[in-house]
Amino acid sequence: MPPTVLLVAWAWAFVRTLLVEVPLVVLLVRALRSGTQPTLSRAGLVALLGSAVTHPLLWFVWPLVVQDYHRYLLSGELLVVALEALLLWALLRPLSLRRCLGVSLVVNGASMAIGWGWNTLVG
Amino acid sequence: MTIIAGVVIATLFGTARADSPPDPRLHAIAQDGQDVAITVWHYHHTMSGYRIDALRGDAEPTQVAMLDLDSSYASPSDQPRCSGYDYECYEDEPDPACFDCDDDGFAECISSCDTTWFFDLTLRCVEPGLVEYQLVDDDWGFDVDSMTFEVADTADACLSEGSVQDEDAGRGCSTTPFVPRLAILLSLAGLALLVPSRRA
Repeated sequence: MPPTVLLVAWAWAFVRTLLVEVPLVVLLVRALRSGTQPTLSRAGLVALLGSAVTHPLLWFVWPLVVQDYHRYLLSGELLVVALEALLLWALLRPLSLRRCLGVSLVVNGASMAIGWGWNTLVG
Repeated sequence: MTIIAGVVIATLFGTARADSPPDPRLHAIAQDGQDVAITVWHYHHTMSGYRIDALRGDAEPTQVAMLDLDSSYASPSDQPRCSGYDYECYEDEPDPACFDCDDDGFAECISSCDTTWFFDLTLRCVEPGLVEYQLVDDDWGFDVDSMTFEVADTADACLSEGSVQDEDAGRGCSTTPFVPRLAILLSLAGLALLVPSRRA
């Protein structure tokens, strides 16, 4: 795949990921938080930051580390979940690590499912 | 006049063809599970402006790989190889560098034999069936080589739904059922973590 095509494909996938993950993180944080902390705008920004870090990692770095597709996908998604959970936990106090891991798992699972559905239906 | 022009054109074409570097060629096709490995050889250690199309029956050809590859994808041949045009060496211009590539007793090169380069690519999750793979000049749109290959149904791990990706794509078979299964597992694991914690 030519680099420009790969870059366009990545950019489109990244936008899709943001459209799914940012609102979902905000919704889940709103449901899980006690009181007004963390703020929802902060949750949205952290979700944006998490995707901005992990999405390029998954697309451009991890394929160089793990060649086999299934191992790549499984290990890559688990790595993304772990990194984003740690980021949520570090920046969205007082949410517990358990809740942050739960949010990260749900959000990334939903993102994968919607991305897969989109690719299957639209191409 | 027409005949002269024809002769001139034929001479120019023939000369250009003989002196020009050889086109890239499909070297080998092999199957590994439901993946198809294609080796292209080329006279240079980088490739650009070529693609591979797959043709099945009467269907329109489908592009399955773009060959814009840098030298990191190239591996040199064991020894210098010839163009494959099957020209024999001119007896009055013996070229000690010539090799008898196809072992027919004649060296094939006209000018010189150079190191050629092999480019390997993998098409993932290829559907079974008879496929004609065409190496196409992407600028001009004509195929420079083709090879027909029967893709067997190995019932291997790759549960393809027809997606064909080159290995550069990174994310591979995007339509494999593995993806939704993993997505559901992640989501369920996440919900399992969240639901009890809300009760607490």
